[in-house]
Amino acid sequence: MIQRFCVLLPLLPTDPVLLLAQEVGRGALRPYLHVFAAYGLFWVLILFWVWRIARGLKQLQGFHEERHSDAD
Amino acid sequence: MNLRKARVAGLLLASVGVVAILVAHWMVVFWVPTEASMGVVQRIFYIHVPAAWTTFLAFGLVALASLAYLWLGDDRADAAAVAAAEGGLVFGAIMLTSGPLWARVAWGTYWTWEPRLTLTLLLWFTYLGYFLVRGSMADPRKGRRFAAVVAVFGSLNIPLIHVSVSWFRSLHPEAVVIKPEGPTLHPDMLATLLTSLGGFTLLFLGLFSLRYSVEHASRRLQAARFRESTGVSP
Repeated sequence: MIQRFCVLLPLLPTDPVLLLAQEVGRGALRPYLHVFAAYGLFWVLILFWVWRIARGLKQLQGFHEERHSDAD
Repeated sequence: MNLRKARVAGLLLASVGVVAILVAHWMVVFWVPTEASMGVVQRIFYIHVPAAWTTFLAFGLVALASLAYLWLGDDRADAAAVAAAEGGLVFGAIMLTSGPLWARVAWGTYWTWEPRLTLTLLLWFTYLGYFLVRGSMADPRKGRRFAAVVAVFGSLNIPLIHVSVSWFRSLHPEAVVIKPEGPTLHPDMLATLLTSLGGFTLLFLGLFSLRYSVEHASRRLQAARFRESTGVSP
């Protein structure tokens, strides 16, 4: 078992998952996470405003249809 | 401008703005060089600075429209002020969330009570107060007038925020674009920033036009319903 592990040991650093785990451990991915969060929050807030405007437009349409049906 | 035209212009401007922002995102990921001292996190700069610029543009518009409302009493000016204030709060929230995410890596803290950050937070809360003042009065006209005064006085904070980094001791970096000797930014970084800045401005103007058309149309509709039910104009 130990012998097999020692044989595999030189291959370990080339495993991308392990390399990633090492980077996470060192905190090297933190700047990437912050950049991703900043850009993600930007789109969330913009979509929130678009949703509010679309809701207002829908309400207006509803009022117009209501008035037209009342007039008919 | 009639409301249908405002809506079409708004959609067009917002669409071009989104395209420009997506191009800027591509430049941020694949094209612009990484800043030497801060590394990858400096890429937040390309949304933080345009968000700040758009916030100041929006709140400046609120102040101008509010002045027009106080002077002329025109309801359209008040509708424009409301639409711009809403946009200012959204872009201000983008600025106030992207800044701390950058600061945590660059300065080691999310927030510090240094002059520019404090004044910017005060500006955001002033325009949040603008909506609270509007809704707090029993007489809506009085509420609009008081809110307009808040908007005009609140805007005096904008030039102070701009000069705060040179007037006071501050952690915030000095301006790198608007300088007497010209921009000191790497040309590729400047191109990315300007693309993003153009996209943000167009997106704001587009969504502002749409929001204004909705606000104005709903007020007209409310006035018409009031006339129908009471026989007098509001």
